[in-house]
Amino acid sequence: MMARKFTSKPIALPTAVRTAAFKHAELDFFEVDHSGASYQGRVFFNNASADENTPRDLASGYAGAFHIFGHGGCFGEVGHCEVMERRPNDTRNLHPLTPTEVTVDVTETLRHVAAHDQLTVTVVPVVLSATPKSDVEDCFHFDGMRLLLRNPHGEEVALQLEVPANVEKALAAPRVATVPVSQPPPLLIEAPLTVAVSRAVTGKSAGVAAVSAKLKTAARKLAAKGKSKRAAKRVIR
Amino acid sequence: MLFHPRQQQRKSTMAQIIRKDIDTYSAVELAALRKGYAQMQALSDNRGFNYISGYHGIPNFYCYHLDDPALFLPWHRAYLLEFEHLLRDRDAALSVPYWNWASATSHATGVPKAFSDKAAADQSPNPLYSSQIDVPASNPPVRRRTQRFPGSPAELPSAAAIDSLVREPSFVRFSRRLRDVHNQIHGWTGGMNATHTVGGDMGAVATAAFDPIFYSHHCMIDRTWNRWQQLHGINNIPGAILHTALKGFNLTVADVLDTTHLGYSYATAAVLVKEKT
Repeated sequence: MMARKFTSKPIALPTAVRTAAFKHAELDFFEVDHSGASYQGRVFFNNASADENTPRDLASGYAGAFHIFGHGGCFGEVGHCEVMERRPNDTRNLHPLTPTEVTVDVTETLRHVAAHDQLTVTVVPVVLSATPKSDVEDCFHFDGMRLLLRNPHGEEVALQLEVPANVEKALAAPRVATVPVSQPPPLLIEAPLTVAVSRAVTGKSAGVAAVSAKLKTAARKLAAKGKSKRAAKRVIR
Repeated sequence: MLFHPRQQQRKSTMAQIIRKDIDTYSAVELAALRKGYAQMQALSDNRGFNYISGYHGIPNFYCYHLDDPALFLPWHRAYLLEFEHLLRDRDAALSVPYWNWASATSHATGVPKAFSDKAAADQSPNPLYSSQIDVPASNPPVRRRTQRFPGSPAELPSAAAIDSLVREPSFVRFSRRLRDVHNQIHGWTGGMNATHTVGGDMGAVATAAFDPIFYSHHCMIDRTWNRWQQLHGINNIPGAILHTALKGFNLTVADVLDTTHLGYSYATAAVLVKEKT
């Protein structure tokens, strides 16, 4: 069974990209779920028809891959794999299933597609290993992504916020468009940081809050039936 | 100088051991290693293979793979050390070998023969091939042998990619990049059976540590961090996590930074001199 892929809506490329005026480019995916299967996330630019058999080369828009080491499903009682909200005085480690962040170096491929006005990002999850407790078809879940450029000239560019297709329907409010990053992540201290970017689902908009409330309600109902929060998301969709 | 017996014991445990590439093991060394693993696997108490394997996934889930704080490498170094001590309790001359999945040999054969042979030289079951998972506390209880369905050797990371990774100057970024390679090897080694209905144990956090190859995979991860430390500094790590305790062990992050202090080094350390120049 093939895993469901993700393809973004077209993203308008800023001047810095179109003129290839960048030194380094990274694509970050936020809040990536790792509760299920282990998989390789193959990233393609401007190739919405890419699948598991698409050659991993520049001509196919292949930009790189990230890898998820999946938990393998829940081996505990009901609620064991729910990531609980942390209390201020909670000194324990983060819950092992706290969603993670992954990065793909896309410098070469972004230069290759730089002449285009728009960019679409396709992620093809190729399942490497899965337990019977893992949902292979629906393994790739994340809450946002950003394209981060480092420009030797110090130019700043902001890209449009992007919404993953698999959470879009759950959001009642339209997404905000361009938001410059006011505080770059600590990893980028070697910059001159040039690009700012986008982080979907970070805002506390009314739409997100409404969905969050719906999720909690649905999750509670499903938890009572022995199902997961992931199932709750599907119900809302 | 006279030592109190306990001091003598401490001194002896601090002796340096060398962790070597599994592909360089002689037949005698491999037989001794297999005997040590077999003895650990035969123990059902807290000195045994099943017990220490339960730290990582089922039933304890002590492992740490998240970015913030960046405890992925320190936690697994402490874990590997604990495992190695239990192994050396069976035979003090042993150390955990590393599996160099980026080597030309691995790119030709995949999983090393020491781990992929079903039987040892004396035709007894190879304890490096699989082990018994016995975790009655999981839901449902797991009682079976480990299995693996490795992928194509061509998919393994290249030595050039690992060399590039080691040159990354930021610890946090290095840790993240190495974790990605680590994730890839877990998925690759676990794999799926021919009908894509059953996955191998290395491919799931919950069961990975029960596969005997887990420790040699993590030995390669630890060796790569060790290489990085020799290029960028042993203490090159965010100060905020230095005193963070590593769950399951009597160690903090600061305690595990210097491998010589922990009593081990890697067989290829001499190569690093060339990398520095």
